[in-house]
Parts: sequence; C-alpha cells; structure tokens
Amino acid sequence: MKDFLDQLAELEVRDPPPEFDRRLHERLNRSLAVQHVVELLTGAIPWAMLHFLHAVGALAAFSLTGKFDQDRRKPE
Amino acid sequence: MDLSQWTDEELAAAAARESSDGPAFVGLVDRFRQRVWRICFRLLGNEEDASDAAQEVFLRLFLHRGRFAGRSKYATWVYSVALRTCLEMRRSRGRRRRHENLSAEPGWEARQPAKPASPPGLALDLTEMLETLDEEDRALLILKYAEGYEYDELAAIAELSVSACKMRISRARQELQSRYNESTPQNP
Repeated sequence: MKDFLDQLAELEVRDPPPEFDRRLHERLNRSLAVQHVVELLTGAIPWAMLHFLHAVGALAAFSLTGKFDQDRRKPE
Repeated sequence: MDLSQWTDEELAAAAARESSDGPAFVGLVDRFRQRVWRICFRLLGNEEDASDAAQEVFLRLFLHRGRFAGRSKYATWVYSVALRTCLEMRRSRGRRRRHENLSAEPGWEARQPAKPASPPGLALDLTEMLETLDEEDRALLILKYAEGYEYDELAAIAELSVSACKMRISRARQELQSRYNESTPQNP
C-alpha cells in the first residue's frame, strides 16, 4: 500500500526562474558594495583621520612651543 | 580551467580564496542551484519566496565561504544553510502575516495571493495539514518524503543525532497520520 506521505513527492517542483542567476549576481554585488563601504568607514577612514590628526597635533605643538619634537622622527 | 573534475570541497576551498564571485563560486552555484531551489520550493511552497530564499542561501554561502571547516561534506553544509534559511524565512513570514492580520482592514484575505492548488488525486490537502506541525518537524518530513533524503543525511543537515532525527520524524508522522485518518472518509 502506498504511504500517504509519498503523495508529497507528487507535488510538482518548477524550475528556478530564468533570471535567477542574474538576480543572484546583482544581490551579491550589492552586498559586496555594502561590505566595502563598511570597511571603508570603519577601517580606512579612521586610519587616515588618525594619521592626519597626528600631524595636526604635531603642528599645533610646534606652533605653541616652538620646539620640534625630534623623537617623532627617530626610527624605532 | 576545467572545474568539472574538482570535488565540491576543492571548489569551496578555491571559492574561499576568491575576492568576488569568481569561477569557483559560480561553479558551486551551478552544481547546487537545482538542489537548493528544490529544498526552498518544497519548504516555502511558492516560486517568489523560494527564489528569494535560494538567493539568500547562495549569498550566505558566499559571505561565509571561508567558514567551511570540512568537518562534513560541502553538500551537507549547503543543505543545512538552505534549511536554516527557509526556517527563518517561514518564521519571519508567519510573524509578519500575524501582524498584518491583526491590523488588517475588512477584505484583507480576499486580496492575498491564492495558495498553490493541490495536485489532482490528493484526497485532501496534505500541505495544509503539514502547516499544523512544528516548523522543523514539517521540514524534516518534507525532506524525507518529498525529496527522499536518508535519515543520516537529514540528521547531518538538521544537526541532530540520527536517533533524534528518526524519533522526530516518526512522531510527526504519527501525528499527521492520525489527522489524516480523521479527515479521510473510510472505505466501506
């Protein structure tokens, strides 16, 4: 006797839509773009700001004290 | 480069080294598109949601392509991601529908898209009966009986032990069988 749950296998499964690959590619690209923007905002821009502010700080210190901090230029 | 001779695991390792969806990842999509689509279509029941879910599955596989540790077969990992994605989508869709139902104005139901019709020959709508089961039990039954997965594959996909998987399927089956018998007219 046929199992009543075997009827589930009779339900037809259509093929994926023809534009499936294109839409997936677009979605992947969007997600990669978002990922790159996040990396830029959380990694590259703070790094650049830090180095810029470091230079501004050194300039301000030199302007106020008239002494150039030689240690900054010494190699470690 | 002929990728057709590569194993799934070799392709996955190559995809993990790619910075975008390069030939290895595209090769994986080609290999698993049909199986992932079938799982999504079976579990979600319509083309639009299945398409959305299958894309989400491949997106997750892409974003987490470096996380495959090789403890299981790559195929099992893919089906496991597909199962979890579909379960999440069904849960969020259920919550959204409940929320919409609560705030719906009169005539809301009439405007909803029609459910897929049962194929001719089905004594009663088994798919509707499956809706009454727990989400995971429903998914296990569908994968077992509609897609023909074996218990050990299902256990690995659902991250259960084989005995727990068998027990859940058997319990869900009994529950469904009793409802089926109640609603099916007895033969004379």
